[in-house]
Amino acid sequence: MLINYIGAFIVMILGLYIMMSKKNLIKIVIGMSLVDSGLNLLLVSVGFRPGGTAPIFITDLKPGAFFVDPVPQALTLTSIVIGACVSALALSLIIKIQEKYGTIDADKVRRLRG
Amino acid sequence: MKKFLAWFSLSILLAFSVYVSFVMAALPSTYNGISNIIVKNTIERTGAINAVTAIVFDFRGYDTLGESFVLFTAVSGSAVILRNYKKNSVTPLEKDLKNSQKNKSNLEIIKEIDKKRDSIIERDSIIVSTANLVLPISLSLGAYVILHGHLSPGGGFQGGVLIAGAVAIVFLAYGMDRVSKVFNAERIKVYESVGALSFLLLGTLGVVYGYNFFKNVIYNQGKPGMLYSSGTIFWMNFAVGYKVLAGIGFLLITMIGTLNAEEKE
Repeated sequence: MLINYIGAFIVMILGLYIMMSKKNLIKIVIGMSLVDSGLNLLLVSVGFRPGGTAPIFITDLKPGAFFVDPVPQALTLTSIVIGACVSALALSLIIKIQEKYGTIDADKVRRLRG
Repeated sequence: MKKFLAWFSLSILLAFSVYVSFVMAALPSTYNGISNIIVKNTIERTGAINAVTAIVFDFRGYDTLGESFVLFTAVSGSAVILRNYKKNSVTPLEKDLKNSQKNKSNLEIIKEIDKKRDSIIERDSIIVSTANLVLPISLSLGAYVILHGHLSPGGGFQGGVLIAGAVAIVFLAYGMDRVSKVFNAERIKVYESVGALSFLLLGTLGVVYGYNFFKNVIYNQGKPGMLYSSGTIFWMNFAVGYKVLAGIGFLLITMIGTLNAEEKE
């Protein structure tokens, strides 16, 4: 599916733009998780087959129905959990930076102190 | 100049990614490789009818092991980074209460705090009544998702996160005092280790029976499609769900504790 790939790439590029242009550290973390979401969308779209159903063997499956690829979905599940962990750790670091420097502006926390 | 460079590089990336999308759309389907074999063997080898859960907990169990350790590391790391905030999160009012609390139940303590706090904090009745309605629904939905991980979409991770959302709901409705009374953060941290260890022990079951690690040895108990089926996948869902609800709950409690400390200043 062409449109899925292009949409996933656009989400990733928007995340990259946020990470490059914004100075607020929380906004940078939001950009990181946007790149992560775009990557997840891309992974799921790789395993998509037009007309396929969810890979569950329910009893009232229509004759001739076929599944989408379950392997990228399982790996995306792993990727989502790891993305949540990275966001949580980065946000805790930002709380610590705010405590030490009094600001979360990426330009102002650059100065070395004691 | 800096802005121009950013837009320039991003537009080059956009053009390149559109080209890559066209190339990827022309590639053959990934279905004919390993997934075809996995889908064909899902019911015979594991007894689960959800192929995604079968892959996560059986065919690629090592991935889930690493994933749960990443979660464990993230929770421990956040707890270490935010360690100093913990002392601040006990308010002076609670310290006074602590001496008289020894022989009372939790409900009595909460009522006591409410009496002292009612004059200070005015709670929003809309949020409180909505939370009372949503909390049991979210808890039972989480338990349902964990229980039916091998039958329907979902599993240990999703159900665990749903249950851990209870911490956020209690905080929104009743504030930090109730959260620190209802949930014991130290004990929750121990529960997370118990969940991780039981997941490892279930993986070791394959070695005990003489196969390799993460081999599903009791897969032929129960009929595929019934609630108790699919052997270790059913139990691993429980272990991972327990671990995730404890881990995310502990993470939320730690972060909410910092919020409370900053409001006081």
